[in-house]
Amino acid sequence: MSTQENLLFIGLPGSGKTTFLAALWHVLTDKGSPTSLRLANLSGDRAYLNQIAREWRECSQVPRTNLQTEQVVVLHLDGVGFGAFDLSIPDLAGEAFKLQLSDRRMSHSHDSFIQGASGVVLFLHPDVKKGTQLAMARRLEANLSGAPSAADTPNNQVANEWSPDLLPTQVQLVELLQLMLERASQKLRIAVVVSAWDLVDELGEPEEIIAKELPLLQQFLETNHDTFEYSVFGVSAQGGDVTVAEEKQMLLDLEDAVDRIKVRHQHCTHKDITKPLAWLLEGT
Amino acid sequence: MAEAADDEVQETEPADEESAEFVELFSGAALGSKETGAITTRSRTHLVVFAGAEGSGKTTLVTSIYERLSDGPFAGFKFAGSRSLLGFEEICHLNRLASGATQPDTQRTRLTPDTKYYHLSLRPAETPVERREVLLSAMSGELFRMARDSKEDTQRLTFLRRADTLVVLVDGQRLSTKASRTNAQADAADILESVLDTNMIGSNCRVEIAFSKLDCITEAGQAAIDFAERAQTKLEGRFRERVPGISFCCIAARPNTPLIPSDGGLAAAFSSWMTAASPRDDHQGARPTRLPATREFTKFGWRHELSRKLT
Repeated sequence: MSTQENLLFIGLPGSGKTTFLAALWHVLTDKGSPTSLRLANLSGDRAYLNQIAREWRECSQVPRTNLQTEQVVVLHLDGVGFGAFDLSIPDLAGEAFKLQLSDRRMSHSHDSFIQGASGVVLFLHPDVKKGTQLAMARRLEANLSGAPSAADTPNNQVANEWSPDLLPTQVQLVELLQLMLERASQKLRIAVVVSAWDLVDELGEPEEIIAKELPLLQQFLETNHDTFEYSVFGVSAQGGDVTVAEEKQMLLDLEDAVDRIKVRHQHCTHKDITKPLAWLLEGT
Repeated sequence: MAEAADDEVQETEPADEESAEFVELFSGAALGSKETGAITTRSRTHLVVFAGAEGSGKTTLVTSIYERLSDGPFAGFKFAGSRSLLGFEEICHLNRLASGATQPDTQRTRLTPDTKYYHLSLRPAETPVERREVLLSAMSGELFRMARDSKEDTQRLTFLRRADTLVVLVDGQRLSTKASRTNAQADAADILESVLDTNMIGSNCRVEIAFSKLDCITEAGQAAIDFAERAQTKLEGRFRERVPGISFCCIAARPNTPLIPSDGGLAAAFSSWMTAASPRDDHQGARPTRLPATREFTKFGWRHELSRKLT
């Protein structure tokens, strides 16, 4: 009899949750590279995982999960130090998390996933929406020779009424974590995954990207050690921008599709996409 | 641990089905008095109240504290959470490019029956010990105008009794023009006088008079700077005996000129507001507990630099 572990993937739409899952399923079934976690056996309905993994192998954009196609994936795994266990991961739509922010309610099923989770993967795409301040922009303009001062600009018309849709990415992510922690029943581990890592890997370590681009989130992560532990990973699951023909071809030309994967953690780069999950499970 | 499920993939119920039931989440908006109970009953909470006439910059101060934290550790504190993130974001909207506006502005605090509070959970940046729960409240200018004019209205401001810090704003923009400067000073003085006369603040409440919009004062030139200094002297003379620990500061929460450092003195001021005051003793004529080392305008060092640049 296997034991059960429950992890939760959370993130905004397009943050890379399903692409990660697709690459993970390929790596687990391919068994061609060393990984911290391994697939113990195959059973049950694998149609969804096979479908998204097929898209991933063809370097196609993995379809986003929507509210109608949400799935709970159960993986039968083992690994050194872990023994055999079944890992349950709900593949929840990013749209559901957006609705939590605007409607201020979550479904009972989401709530029960949180209650049962021992670890969480927070996905964030490095292309963030910033809440750029007008006052700051004006100061920068004023430093430029010949730029008009704020007082010289007439007609301060407000084009957009405020709504939660305008929340900067860092605020959305902090709020998602707060909503989740409010409902969590135990101290959690949180693996923060900076997805599409290949886009920003030259700009520094994943922790540095968060500190620079999402300083409110960075502070929140650092100051809540009594509520959760966290570790930051940079993960490139696709390996490049598959919407650019040349990049897609370059990825398809690789001898082994696993070579597309990059996982950056604690100043080392790996191909083992199971690392964030293994880190979460180490704490259980 | 529970026994595992057999299937690799299980369908979940569509989240938008009418039959789906939901768990209500906290609103994230500015908090009413009742909602603050979720914070104040759990932890010692520091309440900072901003008082001042309409347009004196109370809400801008609240937004600026949040905006500075959004950019990184501020005034020796790191952000550790908030029950009113959406409330903060809403009042910041008119200072965001996403608003479509061309000039920074702040939504005026509306007169509502219930006081609104903005919550911050903070930890000291250097020694991450106990977290500090903070509530910021910007009272509508209309309410304070009513309080200034009526003892009965002042007595309705019962939330003031819970304040750990009361910041009374002197509107620097009005101080910078001759027609309005005397009233700007008088408005702030009258508000504080009303609060003291009705015993609405506790003996442990820190009282600070803040000259807001320092950029307007400095841009208006030497005459405005001199008037502000005289105003500080007058206010000090008027209130020192009743509030021995009264202090003064100058702030440009959102400076619109590169002549003033972008910090605008807010970090030092916020740090002071977060410090507990020594108990006041109005009846025994206690001596001042904290006298400014020097005049605030001079202390910032902007006056002389600015004077040079203006001439």
